[in-house]
Amino acid sequence: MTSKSSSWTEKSNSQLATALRRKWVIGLCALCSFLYFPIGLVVVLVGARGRYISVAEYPFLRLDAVMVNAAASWIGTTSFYCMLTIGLAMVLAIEGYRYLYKKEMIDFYEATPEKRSKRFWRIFLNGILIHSVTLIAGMILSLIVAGGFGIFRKALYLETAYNFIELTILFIGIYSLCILGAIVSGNVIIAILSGLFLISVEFVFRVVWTMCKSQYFATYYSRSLFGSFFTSPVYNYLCGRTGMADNKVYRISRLIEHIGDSWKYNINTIIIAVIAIAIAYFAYKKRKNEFAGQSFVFRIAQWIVKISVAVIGGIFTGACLDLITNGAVAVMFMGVVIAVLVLCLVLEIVFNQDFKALFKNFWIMPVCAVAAIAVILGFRFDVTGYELYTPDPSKVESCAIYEEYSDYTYYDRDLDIITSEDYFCDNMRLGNVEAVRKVGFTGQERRSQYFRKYVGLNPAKPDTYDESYYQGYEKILLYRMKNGKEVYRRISIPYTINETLMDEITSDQAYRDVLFQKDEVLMDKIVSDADNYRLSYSTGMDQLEGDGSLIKGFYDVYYKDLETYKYSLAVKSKPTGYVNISPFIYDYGKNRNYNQSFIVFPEYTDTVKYLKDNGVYLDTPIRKEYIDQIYITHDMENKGTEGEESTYETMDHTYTDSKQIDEIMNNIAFNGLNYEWFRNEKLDYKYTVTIFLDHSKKSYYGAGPYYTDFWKDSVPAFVIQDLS
Amino acid sequence: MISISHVTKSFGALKAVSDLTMDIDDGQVFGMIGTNGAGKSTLLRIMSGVLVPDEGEVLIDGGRVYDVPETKVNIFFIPDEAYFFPNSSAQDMRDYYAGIYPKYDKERFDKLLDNLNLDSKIKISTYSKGMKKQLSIALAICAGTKYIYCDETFDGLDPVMRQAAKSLLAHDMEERGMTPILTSHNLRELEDICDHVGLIHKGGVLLSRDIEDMKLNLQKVQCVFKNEEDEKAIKDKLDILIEDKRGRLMTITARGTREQVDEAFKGFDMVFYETLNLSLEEIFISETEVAGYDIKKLIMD
Repeated sequence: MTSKSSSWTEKSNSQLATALRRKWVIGLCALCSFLYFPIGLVVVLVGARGRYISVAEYPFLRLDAVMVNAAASWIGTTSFYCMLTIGLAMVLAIEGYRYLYKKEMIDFYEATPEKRSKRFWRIFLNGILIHSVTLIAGMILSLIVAGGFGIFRKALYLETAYNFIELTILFIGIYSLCILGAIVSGNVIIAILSGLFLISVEFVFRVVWTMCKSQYFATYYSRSLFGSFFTSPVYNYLCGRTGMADNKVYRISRLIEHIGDSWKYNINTIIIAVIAIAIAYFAYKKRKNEFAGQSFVFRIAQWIVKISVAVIGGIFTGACLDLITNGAVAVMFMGVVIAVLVLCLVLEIVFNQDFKALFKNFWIMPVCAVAAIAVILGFRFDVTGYELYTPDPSKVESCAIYEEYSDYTYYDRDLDIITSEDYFCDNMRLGNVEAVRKVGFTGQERRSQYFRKYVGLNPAKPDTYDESYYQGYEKILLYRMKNGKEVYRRISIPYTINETLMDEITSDQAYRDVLFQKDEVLMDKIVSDADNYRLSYSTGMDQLEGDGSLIKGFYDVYYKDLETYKYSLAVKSKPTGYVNISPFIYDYGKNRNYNQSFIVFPEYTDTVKYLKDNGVYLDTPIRKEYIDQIYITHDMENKGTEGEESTYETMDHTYTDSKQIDEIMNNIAFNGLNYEWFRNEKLDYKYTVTIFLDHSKKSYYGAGPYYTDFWKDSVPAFVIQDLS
Repeated sequence: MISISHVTKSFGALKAVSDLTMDIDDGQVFGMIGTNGAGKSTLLRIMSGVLVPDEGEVLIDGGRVYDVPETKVNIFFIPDEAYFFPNSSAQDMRDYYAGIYPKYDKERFDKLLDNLNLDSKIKISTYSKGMKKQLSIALAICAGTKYIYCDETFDGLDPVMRQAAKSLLAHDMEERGMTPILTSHNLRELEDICDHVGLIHKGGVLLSRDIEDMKLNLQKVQCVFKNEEDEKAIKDKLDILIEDKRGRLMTITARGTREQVDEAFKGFDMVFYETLNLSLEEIFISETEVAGYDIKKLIMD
């Protein structure tokens, strides 16, 4: 036997011997893995099959697809096993190094002829092996179970294998942090607390920090809830999750996407693990064995834990009290002091495991309280100038202005739905930085003023507010900096914004094409599959349908007309309806799920002509021949004299005359009216128009009645007269 | 040889071992006596590489101990509270040590356990305290190490077992030159086992001597002189450590060999003269009282 193979055998035997002395931990890991993977999967698959048969939960999918999705969601990269992995990592870390906490165990191990470093790494590796072997065994059994249910999919095998890698990375991250916690601790209780502290401190800190930002800064916005993390393997694991099954057909391409999304988070976790274990090893080398049984082996660790917990707790309490009391400073101050005091006292008792140690190191309490109050005041007075910050234009690469939750649906080139925000952030690259900056700053100022006057911490809020403050477009502003950073702000663009400035932004092709998703690749895919799609024109009350052959021509005229699109058009024009392209039958397996709407303005003359020429255009929201009568109500306010409340009176009238009906129909808006830069003030809400249909002639959507409103300043004179 | 040189170890404000210097020769049973808290266990833990001294060093056959497996492979440490793996049997422990100590003699261990009437397959947690001590000694003996440190291991063993353990140690000392180092807070526990005794007090060595040397050089005599002049005269001729007179019966503990002391008494006209055997306890009392310590308070209670 060569020396290399002999060394390998020795190491294997050593690992085996170590593992055999940790039978209960092995049992625990094996039990978790066995219950979750094979047993859990049986329950999931039986349930999925039952639901499919009884509830028809997935109308567009076949049973085998449903079963694959169910299996993948349980054992694939979105599995819940991560929760168990976190717990097992803590148990394995603390159990592995618990000998450091007992004198008799220290004497036993440290007197034996084994290098301390070798022992450290032996235990470290042993924990990873125990978790990995039990995990992989459970996963293999679960794949056998899946086979038993007739699920044989290469993608599922690959996803499960990748999940093994990701869970192992998560395990190593948590395990390393908990080992660091275990090494700096002198007993099991402190080791558990230290482990929890290391895993969660940054997460908790960011939650509190984010809470403060959103509470105190009117223009605060962040795409990811807590920003990028560095010390939380849990967050890194969750960040990389993208469901591969997700009610859709299970495709291997999704796994590749997932790897693309998650790798950087996994690398983050690996870096965390390496740093944590390196510090743990260094601490282990420095650790003196006589500290067994004490709280912390290194005094600095105690200070770090105490100060962090007290300050974060103080900030959290102060911010909460500020919110609850609407900014009562004295209550906030008192709350912070009490919270810090309680935390400091409790921690001292826990650290010393002695109630009499209550007031030990008491001097740290005022220091923490002052720090927490300083942070809260810093947020309150926006000492960093966050709210009105605008970056130097020379350092901005491009910008975007978008609605956080758009009414449009956006697709990637695989025809999978992506969030509008993702789409805008990835694609909208406005070059007119100066115009965006001016609009953005106005929006920031408006939001800041409105927030400070009516929403934020202001004990002297007025009972009523100026409506003009309320009227604005809530948008998200994104500056992409040349150094790769992204700066986001939530803004309220007032309706009174300079139209020319807005037109400059919105007439930019980079804006229009993204807002209306002009993507040649996507469009080609739809056109090439046009036989399976239909084009319809809808007003929400009535609809005309055409076949897919109209799609290509529609794209041509619509995107040509779109060149006239700008803010002032969207604000002033009265759209007539929208065109919808959708498949006859949804089939996710063949990527046939595109369903897109296109708002039609009368100024889009080529589009209107094209639709008319092909018989898919409605001149009025409902074809007139369907209408039986129209009932209109008018809410009138009788303002009371000073000190009295206003009263309301409702007038109504029913119209059956065809000429009057024609005029009414020419001045009402269609249903489902909501598009970019739409303002509610474009409609007259004092009048409610109810359209009753002739029961013998149901419209596309049914027998009605339909409710709608007049366009502003478009109420016919006879209606005004009848209802005044 | 174990060479302990100016070793100091403190735990916070408590100085457990203070500038202790001592050599332990090979091939003898070295007993360390001291009260609880005298520093015996701390010294053993330093000697076995569990603790690092704040100052000074311990060299075993010229090599450092802390984190040096090459040195530790020659040491087996039985702490005062021996640790066994949870739910383990004697066989499990044997196998563990066999994997660590290259000279581990499994067959001998099995035989020893048979002789000690210990079941090697049942859980150690079911053993009595004495049985656990027997097991610890058996595990240590079979490790084949040159040095065995027993921290109060013999305290509380029944006489039969003490004799058995003593025989085991004697066998290995003779066979392979093993050096046992034993500690106890009670001198009587070590009296019949040790060749050399070190008295540890307040972290330092009060005394370190071969028992035979001490016995040979210290004599206890009971005598009755016929006249008082002779009583005074004998005091000038002997290096008396302790003198006690009850009525006319004098008890004298003096330095010197038996021959030297007998020679000193020759020529005096005495009613009664007898040389008595000194117990280890009496030797210690004699030696330490001279140094101003009340040894009974230190190690006899």
